[in-house]
Amino acid sequence: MSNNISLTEILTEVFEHLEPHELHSCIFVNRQWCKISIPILWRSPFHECNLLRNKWRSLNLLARTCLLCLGDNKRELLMNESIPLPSVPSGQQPIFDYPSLFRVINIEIICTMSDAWVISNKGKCTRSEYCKKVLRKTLIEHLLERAEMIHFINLDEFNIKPIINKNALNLRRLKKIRFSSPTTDRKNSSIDNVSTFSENVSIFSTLINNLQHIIVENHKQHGSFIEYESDTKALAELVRNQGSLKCLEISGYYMNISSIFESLKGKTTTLTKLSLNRVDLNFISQNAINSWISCVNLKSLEIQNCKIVEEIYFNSGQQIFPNLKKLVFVNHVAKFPINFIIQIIKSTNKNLEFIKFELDHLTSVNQLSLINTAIHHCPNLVHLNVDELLNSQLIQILDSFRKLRELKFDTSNEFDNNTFIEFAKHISQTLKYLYINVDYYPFPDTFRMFINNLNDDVNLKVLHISNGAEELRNECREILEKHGIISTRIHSYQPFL
Amino acid sequence: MDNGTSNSASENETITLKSCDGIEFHIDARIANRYTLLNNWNGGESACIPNVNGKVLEKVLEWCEHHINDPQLNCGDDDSRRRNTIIEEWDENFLSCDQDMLFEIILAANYLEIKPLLDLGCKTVANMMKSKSPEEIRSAFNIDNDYTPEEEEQFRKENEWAEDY
Repeated sequence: MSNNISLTEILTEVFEHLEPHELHSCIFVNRQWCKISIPILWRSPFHECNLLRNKWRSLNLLARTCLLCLGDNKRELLMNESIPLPSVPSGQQPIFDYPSLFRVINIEIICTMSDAWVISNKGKCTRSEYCKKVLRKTLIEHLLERAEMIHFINLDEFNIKPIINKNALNLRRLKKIRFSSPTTDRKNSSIDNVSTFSENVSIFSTLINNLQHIIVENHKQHGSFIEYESDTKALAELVRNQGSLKCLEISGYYMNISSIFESLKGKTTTLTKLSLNRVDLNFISQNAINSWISCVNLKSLEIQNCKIVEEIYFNSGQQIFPNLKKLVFVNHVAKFPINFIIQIIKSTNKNLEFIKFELDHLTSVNQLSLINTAIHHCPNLVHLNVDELLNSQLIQILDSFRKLRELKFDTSNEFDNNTFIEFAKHISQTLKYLYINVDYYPFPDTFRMFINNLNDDVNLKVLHISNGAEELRNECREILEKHGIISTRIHSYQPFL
Repeated sequence: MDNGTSNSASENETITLKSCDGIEFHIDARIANRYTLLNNWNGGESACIPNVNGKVLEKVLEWCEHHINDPQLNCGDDDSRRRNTIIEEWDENFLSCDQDMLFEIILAANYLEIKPLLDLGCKTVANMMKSKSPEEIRSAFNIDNDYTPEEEEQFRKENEWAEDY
């Protein structure tokens, strides 16, 4: 390679493709590799904590290194509380200031990490519950002070009031936040100075105005009306205060969220992604709808298991989301007004590239109407994931969506050998991934005929047939693999994530 | 919206690209249209590509030509792009070249802003590192160890948490 600047850039790109345990080997190759890999490794420690093979041991080791990086004041504080600190040769400093590399802070993981340290030093911590509390607070404070490149903070049912204050300057750099409300506000909790969910949200509202991505998950089961109202009010305020919000994800609000939608009024040009999961749209006000549909730059809209009984009508001919590329409608809980979806598809200016429909309780007339609308208004579709297709629609879909790259469908119709073999003739050269969830099990001869019927220019890479019970026979798999088609159920290619 | 197959240039249109060592390539204008940097230079019928030599440019253009009909996807974020570790057979064969050429292709893809080829090259190198110890990586890439034993030991302790990750 011609120069070192490029080598650093290229190695950074390469390391992005490695899992943390693979990256761990790179640290020890040489100093240059270490300098590049350490910031990637420490960017988001234990992002997927549950995947750890030995979670408790690893979290204890992580706590050890974080404790080594504490300043004198915090070390002294912990020692005064009789919390043991890791021992190192005298005068030895950590090689990196690791907490300054954190870009993602998951409060739940920091708490578990603190608990792991206290438990593993149980003999030395006499009041373990108290020690856990002190250590949690100290480590969170330290990380928030040091993490100058913080990007995302994940607050999972955590009471932040004692820790977050207006001096937490790094938080002003936050781009993404996730709030997960507890199942109930714990006013009588043993934790000192406990705050409600809405108070927690309000603290951030006053501190941050540059968020690009807000995720809110409500888990309250039996909250009072007043509690719900103050939660939505605080969230609306948070949304309103952000100058360049791009993504908003709301989950678990079977209540009136009109005020949150209304606060989108100033975000009509910045918002590109909106995701609603288990939200009651029945209460939504006309003003809220108006704010929502003025988000003309929306590129992704996901509506999953939301309640809505009556149609929402827009002005006829109005282009609601002309730039929409991704549309997801999933509803297993109740009927969903079909005209609402059709209006959105028609308004997208033929830009849609990704569609996912999983709609239970759909009448056959509505199903036909929905698929036909997609066929006529989405010539640029690349991904299609849809349940309950008729055999005739399958052929129509393959013939109509000539840019389709990934197709996933379920069918409970009579999908038989003839359909499967005929199906092959209509596969276009762009289709690479085909996932069929069907109550049907093709035999090796059927696969041979399927292969024979494929056009010469077909580039199919993955064919996955799932009948819910059996894997494909080895013989079938070999037939496909001879033609460069992977058929295994588990593989690394997951286009529908 | 550009989906790759809807490039404004027609199939018969060609432009000439010249490598830094003066070798000329006549390419389908749709290739230049797909990639920003090539497109920026497409002011006339020919363009000069500094920093990329003829041997490497030939390989890069071979890749571009093979993938001319691929859709250009905008939906995936960086994480989902990286999670997708599958490498197609043609691409695997294409990058089964010597290490110097592989790195030159990655540098050229980076320079020319051909993101899918850059990803592919980086994935290939990443795959060469997987399941290897530091010693094996050093030997595969001909790298010297410049750590002192004490330094290495300290690093090991400070990063031990990631071993089982």
